Order: sequence, then structure tokens, then C-alpha cells
Amino acid sequence: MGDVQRIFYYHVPSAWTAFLLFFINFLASVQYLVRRNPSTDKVANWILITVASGYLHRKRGHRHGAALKRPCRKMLSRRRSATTGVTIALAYFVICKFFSVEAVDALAVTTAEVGVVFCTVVLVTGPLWARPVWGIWWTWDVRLTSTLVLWLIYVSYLILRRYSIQRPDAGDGGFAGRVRRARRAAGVFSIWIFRTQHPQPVVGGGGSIDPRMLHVLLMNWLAFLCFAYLVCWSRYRLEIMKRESRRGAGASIPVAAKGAWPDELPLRRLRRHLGDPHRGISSLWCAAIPRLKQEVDELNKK
Amino acid sequence: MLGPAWQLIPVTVLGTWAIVVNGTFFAAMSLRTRSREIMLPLLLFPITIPALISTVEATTVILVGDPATSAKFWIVLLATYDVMFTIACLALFETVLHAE
Repeated sequence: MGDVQRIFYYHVPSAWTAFLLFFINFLASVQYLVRRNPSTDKVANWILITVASGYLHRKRGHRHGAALKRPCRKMLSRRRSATTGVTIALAYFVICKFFSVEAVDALAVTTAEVGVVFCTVVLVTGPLWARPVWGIWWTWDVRLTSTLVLWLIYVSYLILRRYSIQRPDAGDGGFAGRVRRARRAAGVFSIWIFRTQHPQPVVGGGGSIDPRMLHVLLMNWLAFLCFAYLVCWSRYRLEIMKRESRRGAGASIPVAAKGAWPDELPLRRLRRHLGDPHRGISSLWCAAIPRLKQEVDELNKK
Repeated sequence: MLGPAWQLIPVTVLGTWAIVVNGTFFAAMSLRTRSREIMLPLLLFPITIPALISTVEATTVILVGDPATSAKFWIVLLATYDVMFTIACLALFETVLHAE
């Protein structure tokens, strides 16, 4: 397929990254809803533990005797679903451990925004590849359609967050309510993802893949992940700062939303690596964070 | 050349239910947003797409009546969608209403 095929190395890693981010968004959203109430929090934890241990148990049980009897594919899909179940539970508890309730919400916005960017990349590069290979820009295939719908849903989710009313006397209540509502929306959205993303065969991936291609693909994915992490991290810091400044404006409510990252350390390291922070792509983030910090200080003084 | 016409009944019921549930829920949600006239369709449309698609496809299959194809997949999809969204909307309705 020549050079056209190379877009594959761009398209697939962004798709995986986008889905990973949306997955994190889903977990964060669910946690935000669940953890506000101690009883639902407990229930959710126990459900997850039960499901995960049930999967583990079943997996081990099948290894003993039943392997030969069962068709190979069934075995494989069962193992995959077990892995999925355990992964969901693990990721849930990892997020639970490292993020406070407010921070989980910031995490959700961050991942949704960055995920939408990656999803846009997928939707742009997909047709670019399809035009020479399939001869058409777009087809209403299940997988393509579901990705498009997913993108639409997340865009409207972000719009909803932005357009929710914030009362002028914005105490904690108005803000939390706004956020809660949006968060709930995210929960519903993301359930939807899981239903749609699962069942289709891989379109365009085509049978087996050369191991060398796979290596390049995985390396690329790693790079994409690093990039996504960097962007997410900057955005997350900004979000936390914004909240702190907003809260500082309200009253003497203590600053509760501490991020998962140790204070400022990675930023300093990043700056040292990049040299002058006011030069290059990173200047936007690097300039915005100190400014916000300054605003927080001023507001606190008042 | 009508297919199994009785299947139109579950399709109608399930499709209507999907729109009713989501419409109510998202109307409540967009109640307190700015420019809510725009927000409601903006939210409702992407969420309802799967229900719309499966309703349309199921109806097409039934009306065409080709014995090689079956509307079963679409009806099951629609039912799954209904069950999921009914549960989610019922569970979260309280949160949406009291989000102030």
C-alpha cells in the first residue's frame, strides 16, 4: 500500500490513547459520583472486589481441566474478559488511592479534553487513509460510526460543563452542583462507550501483522502515551490552580484539592529540560501556571 | 412482502421508551444550563443515536421481509440500550435534580 500505510502508525496509537483516556474519564466520573456518599462508596468497592476476585477464580479454575474441551477462541475471549474485569478494578483502586474526590473531577475534565483531541486526530487520519485504500472517505461501518458518536458525546459533555450555570455568589455549593451534574453525564456517556467499542472486528487492521510493524506501532504508542501524559499533567495542574483560586475568592475555605503529583517538582524538572520557559511550545503552559499561582496568592492575601 | 409484522410492536415500544427516558433525563439536566434550548438537542442527539439507528434498522428489516436477514440483533441492541439507560437515568435522576 506504500506510503499511505504509514498513517497507520499515527492513527492507531492515537485511537488507543484516546480510548485509554476515555476509560480513565469513565472511572474518574464514576468515582466522583460514588465517593461523595460513603455508603455508595462502600458498595462500589465491594462490587468491584467481588467481580475481580470472581474473574480471577474462574480463570484459575479453567486452567485445570477444561482447557482441552473448550474451543480455543472461547477460551481466549474468556481470558480476555477476565483480564478486562481485573484491569477495571485495579485501575479504579489506583485512581481511588491517588486522587481526592475533587481531584478526581479535575482528572475527568483533563482526560476528556485531551481524549477529544486524540479522537479528532483519529477521525481526521482515518478518512485520509480510507480514501486511497477503500476508495471512499467514509462508510457507515459500526466501528466508524461509534467512534464518531463517541466524539460527539464527549464534545457535548465538554460544552455542557462549560455552559452550566454558576451562581454569582459562587460558594462551594454552586460549583459542586455544576460539576456533579456534568460528572453524572459523563458516567452515562462512558457506559455507552463500552457497549459500542467491544463487539466489532478490527476494520483495516487486517489479519496478522508483521512483528516488526508491531514493534514500531508499540513504540509509537509509547511516545503517544508520553505526550498525552505530559499534556494531561499540565492541564491537570491548571485545573487544580483554577479551582484553588476560585475557592480562594469565595471565603476562607481550606484548599482541599491537592493533586496526585508532588507539589511543583515535575514542573521544575520540565523547565530545566526545556530551558527558557517562554520559548517553544511549552511556553503556554509554563507561563500560565505561575500567573495563576500569583492570582491565588493575591486572592489569599485579600 | 411484509416480514414478521408482530416484531414491529416491540420495536415501537422499546424505541419510544428509549426516547422518553433520555428526553426526560436530559431535559432535567439541561434545565439549569445557560441557553438550554440549544443544550437539550445537543446532548440528546448523540446519546439517542444508537436507539435511533437500531429502531430504523429493525423497522427496515421487518418491512423488507427478506427471510435471509433478521431484526433480532437490532431488537436486542435496543432492549440492552433501554435497560442500561433506564437504570442509569433512574439511579442518577435524584443527583441531577438536586444539583444546586
